[in-house]
Amino acid sequence: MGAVVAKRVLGSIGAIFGATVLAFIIMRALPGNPARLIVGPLATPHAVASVSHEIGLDKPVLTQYWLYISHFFQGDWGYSYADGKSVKALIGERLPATIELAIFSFALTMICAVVAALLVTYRQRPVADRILRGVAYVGFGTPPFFVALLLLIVFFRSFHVLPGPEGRLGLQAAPPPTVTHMYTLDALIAGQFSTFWSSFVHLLLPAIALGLSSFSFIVRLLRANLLEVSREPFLTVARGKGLRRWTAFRRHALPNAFLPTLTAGGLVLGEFLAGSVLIERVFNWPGIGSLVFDAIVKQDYAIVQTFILLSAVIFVLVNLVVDLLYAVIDPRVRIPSVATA
Amino acid sequence: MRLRGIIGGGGGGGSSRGGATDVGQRRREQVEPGRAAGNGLPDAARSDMALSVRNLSTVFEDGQRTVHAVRDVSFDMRPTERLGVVGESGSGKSALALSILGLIEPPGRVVGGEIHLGGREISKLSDRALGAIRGKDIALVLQDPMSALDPVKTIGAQVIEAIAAHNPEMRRGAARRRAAELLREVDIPQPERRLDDYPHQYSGGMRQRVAIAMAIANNPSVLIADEPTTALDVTTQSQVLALLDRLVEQHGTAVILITHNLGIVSDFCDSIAVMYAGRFVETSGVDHIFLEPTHPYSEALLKCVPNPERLADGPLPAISGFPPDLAQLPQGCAFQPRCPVGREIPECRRQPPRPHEVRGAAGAAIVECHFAEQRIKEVKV
Amino acid sequence: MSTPGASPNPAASALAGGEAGAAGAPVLEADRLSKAFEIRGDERLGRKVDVTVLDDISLAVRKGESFGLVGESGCGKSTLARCLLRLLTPSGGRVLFEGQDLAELDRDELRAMRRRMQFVFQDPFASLDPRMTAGALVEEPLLVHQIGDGEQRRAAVMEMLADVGLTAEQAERRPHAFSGGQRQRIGIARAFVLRPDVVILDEPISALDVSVQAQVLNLLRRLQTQLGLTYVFISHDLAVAEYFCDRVAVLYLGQVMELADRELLFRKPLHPYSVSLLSAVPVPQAGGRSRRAQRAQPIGEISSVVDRPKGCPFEPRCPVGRGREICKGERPPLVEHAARHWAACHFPGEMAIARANGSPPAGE
Repeated sequence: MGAVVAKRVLGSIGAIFGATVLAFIIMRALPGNPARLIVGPLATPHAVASVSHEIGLDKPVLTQYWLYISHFFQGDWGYSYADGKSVKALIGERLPATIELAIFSFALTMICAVVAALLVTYRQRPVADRILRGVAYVGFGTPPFFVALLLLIVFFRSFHVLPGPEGRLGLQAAPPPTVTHMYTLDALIAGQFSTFWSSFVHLLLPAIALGLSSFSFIVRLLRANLLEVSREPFLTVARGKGLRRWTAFRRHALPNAFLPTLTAGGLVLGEFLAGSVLIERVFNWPGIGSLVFDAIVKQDYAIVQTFILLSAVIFVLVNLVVDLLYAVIDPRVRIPSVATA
Repeated sequence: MRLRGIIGGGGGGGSSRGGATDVGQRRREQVEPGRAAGNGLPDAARSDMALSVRNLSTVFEDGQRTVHAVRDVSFDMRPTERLGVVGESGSGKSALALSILGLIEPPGRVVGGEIHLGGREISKLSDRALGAIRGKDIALVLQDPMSALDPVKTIGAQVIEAIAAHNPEMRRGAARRRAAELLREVDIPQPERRLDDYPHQYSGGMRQRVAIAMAIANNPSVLIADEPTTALDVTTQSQVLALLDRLVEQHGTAVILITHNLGIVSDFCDSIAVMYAGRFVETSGVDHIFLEPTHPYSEALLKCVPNPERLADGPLPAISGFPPDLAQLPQGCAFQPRCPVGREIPECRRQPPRPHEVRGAAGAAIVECHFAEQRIKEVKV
Repeated sequence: MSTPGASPNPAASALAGGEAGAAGAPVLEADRLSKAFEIRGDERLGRKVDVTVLDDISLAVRKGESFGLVGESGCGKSTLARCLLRLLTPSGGRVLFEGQDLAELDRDELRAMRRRMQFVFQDPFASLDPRMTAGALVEEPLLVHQIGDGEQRRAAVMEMLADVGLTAEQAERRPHAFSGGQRQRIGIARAFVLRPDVVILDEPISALDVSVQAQVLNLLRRLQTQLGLTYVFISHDLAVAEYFCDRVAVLYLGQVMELADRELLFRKPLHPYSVSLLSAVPVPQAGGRSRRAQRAQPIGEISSVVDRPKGCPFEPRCPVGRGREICKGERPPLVEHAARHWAACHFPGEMAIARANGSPPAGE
């Protein structure tokens, strides 16, 4: 097992390394001179040159690269070209919102997908099955922002049951004292139940909008895997031992069907954590998605290049966890099998 | 209704093993041809039998089509009897096994019949009640050892599961010891260490032994083995059959061995039922089938298999045509379109044959053929 | 091999029983053929293991005969078949087709050679492209080798389909509309449409029902006579091999254990492995149960291919040779112990055949 872990960790480091190189190259390939962007269109060439020197643009490429990654991993993320604020502070302000939404949406998506897939595969329910496949078909093809708008129209405008596009808590409420930066958790910790409830309902619509297409993908995957596994002989053998239907299903069908879903889940979580600009726009969600989008438009590359690396690292780490979980659950990964020709 | 005598050899008498003499004799008095009683069932299910099945029928409903997988099958098995069920794909033999165990899943369902296990009627029991019986009084071994074990659980966990399902009060340590004991019984070396290994680390032969260990864990009175050696090498097959032979002798288990291989049946079984299109077309003591196969299908099946003892050159007498579509069965005999005897005979085409009890040199047999009596005099292999 | 320093391939020619002018000169030969695969041993970083699947195999197939290759899992018969057709490149040794070393052919020459050697696969479901019609599948080899024009090809396809017992109307259907036996016929038609000289059949009937097996075997026999073919017939089913083949080679763990004419091998096997293999085959006949006790069973399981024993590969399980020094240390060469009967054993014939029926074989 240790060998498996070591291999995966090394692989992840390699992936991150590759991401840094790629990010660096892309950034350098983009049009525009960062020094000029900092000092503005009216500055003198002298000012441009001096800022260039300051941010190291006149150094050899390899040195620049080294500075780039060493600064990133030390936490020195530079300053925004647009307004001079520390990139770290800017991202730090916005990241919790994205993380909270990502985790909430992920949990909601996975739980719904598992329950739905189980419902239609444990017992033959042709009607429910068809409905589920229809929903998944539509959900997979509909762009999240469109879903978001539809949800708002239905639940906010027409029925007034859920809050509108007013961010994490709306305009009236004040955030709870900061512990984890997650409003839901912090509110619970502080005992502020009304705040908890408010942040919860504010999370619902964006989470559904964000998660619907991933839900569709995962539920179809899980459904197919469950159907396939439930035809396997070992399930019949388990029943032949005298196990009740649900017990046999739970112990033998579920773990085996889950494995490929695990991989898919990792991809989904990684994607959510990278932030979704459009959802954030629609709901006025103060996450990093819109921060980065604005930065791109304003050519504020300091933010962009940090974000590229940050999301690469997050993605790789999430997948590392998935890989290791896989090795834990599936013994075939960590123990070699008998070799027969 | 249908007549069913009790067919089979085995039981206590050593002389009837392999001998061609009194296999049917012993049973003769219980066979009653075609007597119409008040409820139409001349021969009700027997409570002194290990397993007694009457009129079992199973269908699979797939939208428009209804596939009749098992059609009105009846038979009895004495304790320690070994019945070989022989048929090709589409004969319904696997469906039969699952039907007896109550493991038919939608879109299939058992639509009729009675199953008496050790005197107790089990066909109408709930899944929960059947769960108490499966693995304990009647057990199952499946064909493909590669997929009969859960790949993500240890061998020990799976054997213990078979034990614990019927011994909930047993402690972990005791269950582990019992599991190791079972592995030792099936000739797996160093069983204590094997408990923590995973199925993919082992060969097909070993996995099949584990499957057998799980099946005999609670000393069932009936074991159903569905093609248990088909996926194994010849030498491994021989070893596994020898193992099975020893175990069922020791534990006194009755065995239904489902296979397409007549050689295995001749080695292992006391009685045989040849299955075609969901029905038992010929049921008899095992020697009868090889000496005087009466049903044309049995005869054809024997002849079309290359048999080293009958080194015949020239083309094998193959059975023409294809197995019937179980959703569109003909009105008369299901084998008729391919039958060298009945192909042109209107009676075979129109009338489904009733079971006929016949006697040959090797004992009695029940044959579903219009020409059973004539053929028993003619057929010599 | 067994005669070092002799001219190339005397052993193989001898194996073919080819005296000059004999009815069957060797048409396909394996000369000290070896094949090893590299597999990932463990998760330990970088450790790869070389698995030898074929270990110095020499044999020869005579023109016009049905040559059987029998063995259990791990014996390498499928790999051998693929090496013979050069679908796999051997790690050592040579494959000769009509005396021509296949390794010396360039791509075009090899392709031309392929016309004369064809392959029928085991799995009638997986070996046919589900999106092609039966007619298209049979036509494909003609297209690949650019034979004839459209009309001639179509005629050839129809004739071939008729030969295997399929109708013209069935040519338009796709594989899923056919039964296993019919699909195998399509596979056979596809292999035979080029009128090859040699056809290698890898377990062509194992996946079929018993009654269908007989039909396909009869078809293969008829086509062999009709087209003058040479067959290499791979099977794990000894009864079928005995029925169908003229000469049979028994393989174990990548080595030839015994090679002989059919009657010799099945009546008087010399090698203990052949003996146990034959006695393990259950024979359908009356009185089977009482005879089973007389089986001669090998001990334990087939050795892992990875963990090859050093001397004789069968030694660990051999009722005759287990533990004997010479068997453990020295690999027995394939030697002609009796007329046209080769065995690779230090003690051939020591284990008497006790057949499944318990009676000594005919002729003793």
